[in-house]
Amino acid sequence: MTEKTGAETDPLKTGISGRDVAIMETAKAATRAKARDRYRLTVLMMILLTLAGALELYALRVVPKMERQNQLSGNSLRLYYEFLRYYADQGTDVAVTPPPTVAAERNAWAAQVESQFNHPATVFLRDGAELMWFGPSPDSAARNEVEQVLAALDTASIAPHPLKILGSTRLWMRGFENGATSYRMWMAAQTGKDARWGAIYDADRDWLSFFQDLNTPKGTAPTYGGPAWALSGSFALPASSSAGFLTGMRAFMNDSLIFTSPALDLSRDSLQWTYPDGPRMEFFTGPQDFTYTKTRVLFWLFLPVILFPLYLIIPFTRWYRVVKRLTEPVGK
Amino acid sequence: MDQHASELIRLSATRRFRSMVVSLLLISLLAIAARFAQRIIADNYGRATLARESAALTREFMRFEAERGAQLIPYPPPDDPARRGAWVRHIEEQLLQPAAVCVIQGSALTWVKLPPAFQVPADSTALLLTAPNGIRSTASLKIHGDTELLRTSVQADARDNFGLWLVGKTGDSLRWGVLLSSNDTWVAFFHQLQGTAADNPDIGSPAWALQDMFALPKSTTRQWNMGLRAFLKDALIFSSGDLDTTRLSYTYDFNGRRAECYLSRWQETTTHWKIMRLAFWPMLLLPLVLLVPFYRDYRQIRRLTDREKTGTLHD
Repeated sequence: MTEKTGAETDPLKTGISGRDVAIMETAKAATRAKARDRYRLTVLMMILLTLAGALELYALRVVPKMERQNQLSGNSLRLYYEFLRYYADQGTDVAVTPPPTVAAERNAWAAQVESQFNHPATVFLRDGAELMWFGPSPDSAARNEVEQVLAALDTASIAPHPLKILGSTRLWMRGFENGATSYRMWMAAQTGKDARWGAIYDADRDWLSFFQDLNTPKGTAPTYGGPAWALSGSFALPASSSAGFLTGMRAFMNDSLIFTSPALDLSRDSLQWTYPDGPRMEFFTGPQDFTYTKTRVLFWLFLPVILFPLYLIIPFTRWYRVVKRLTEPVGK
Repeated sequence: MDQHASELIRLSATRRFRSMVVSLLLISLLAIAARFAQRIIADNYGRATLARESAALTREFMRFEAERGAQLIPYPPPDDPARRGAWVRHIEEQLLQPAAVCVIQGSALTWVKLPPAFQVPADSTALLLTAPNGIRSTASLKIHGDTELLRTSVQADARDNFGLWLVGKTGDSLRWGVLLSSNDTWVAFFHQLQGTAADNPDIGSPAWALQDMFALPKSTTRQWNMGLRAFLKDALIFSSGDLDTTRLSYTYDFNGRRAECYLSRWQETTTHWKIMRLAFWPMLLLPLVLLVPFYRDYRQIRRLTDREKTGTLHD
């Protein structure tokens, strides 16, 4: 741009009067002011666009993660429900095995009751006033607990509500702790009969036998209606047909590993949960969760959308400078 | 300003304006593409949820059907034939569905109750029992305590499937059992889900297992749970309250037994990612709006560097 001097603005030389110059200066000032306002507004809009993009990017990171956590949490709840059903079914087996009336057959009966648990359990039978124990005798605290519950069942006003009613048989379950050990106790009685029978055992054993069922090896059909059958569609178990997109898991009881899914990928999204009186569980999304990959791709697709408006500020600033320069007042 | 500098500014502004227009249109297109991708991903999540939960429903039904026989264990047939009418009623009340009830002593089959609709499968049952290895050659066996439970399917017709469940003490020749229609079991299953919210479902029952997944009368968080309705040969037999059938759904249909699962409003809101929908419109419209100031600035520069006006303004 050429240097502006007094000679250049001389009306005799340029043919433009001082009044015309004043009008042009006012027009230039107005153009300059408009350009400045527009520049500010545009920068604001670009920042808004970047913020909208950042929100989108944030949602892309957070919402799928929330979805995956929801899935993991839903599956962990399903596993717990399946466990509850598993041990309740064992209690049902106790209830449908009433004691024989012939004393000589009681040992065989107790062995049959114990065999239904898939783990060691102490069977008891109270017939009349006598309380008989079959198998390893539990500690005195557990014995006292059994006696107290049996006494409570005799008194209608304090008798606990049965867990199940199977025809004329009622089934109760009670859990209690003695020091570091949690016990589970099953007790059954038939209407109109004095006999009460049941079993007591360390509650951890239910979990261990539950995971033993989940460990049904590949190629072996899981027990129909059992935990492996019910969960093989949600969790990567040895018996699952395609483990890639299923939830992986591993379980620790007292810090020792008791179950792990085949080909478990520990780098995936995870959820940890310690069940009440049970194992510590870790759940992982499956390695073939395609949505996981898709959201990652989408994230990188969005990144330029966010950065580009910021980049656009540069050429726009240059434009603004050009307009400013072109509309500079005479004499500057 | 000399003519050459002015021309350069003008040319550079034109180039810059064109590239800006292209860039802003690209951003808008990218926003639209991303929006489509989000929808696909959201649908994937929604469909995965639907597939998972509906698989749980069908598995629960399969288990319910398989466990029908276990319901008979506490009901051994009375010795007195006069009390067998009441015994059959107890069994039907327990099963919540019509049944043909039989007792087998040795190889003698007696139908204590045989409704006409069960005549054909009952004849097939008699044939099954006379097979070389009896019913054991085709049946699955499960042991409950000192009781064994046999289950097998029975040929009838294409419209329905029938199953036979037999129960008896191990080592005893007495067996009692029922012949059930799968269609009736389907109705009984959904009837069981229909109990009121005040009911306390039995641990292990379908209502207990499904109450946290589906909007059942027993569910405490119905608005979050998946909607469900079921049909038997197009007749509605179960529907969640306030079911919205416009939501993403999954249909299970097997021989006229149909269940439709719908995502809840909450699930759909989550899966469609409301936050992203909020950001989409600014991302689409702002680049287009930005074209206006860009265009005005460009026009301004053109005017200021116009060949004819340049001289009058600055030279």
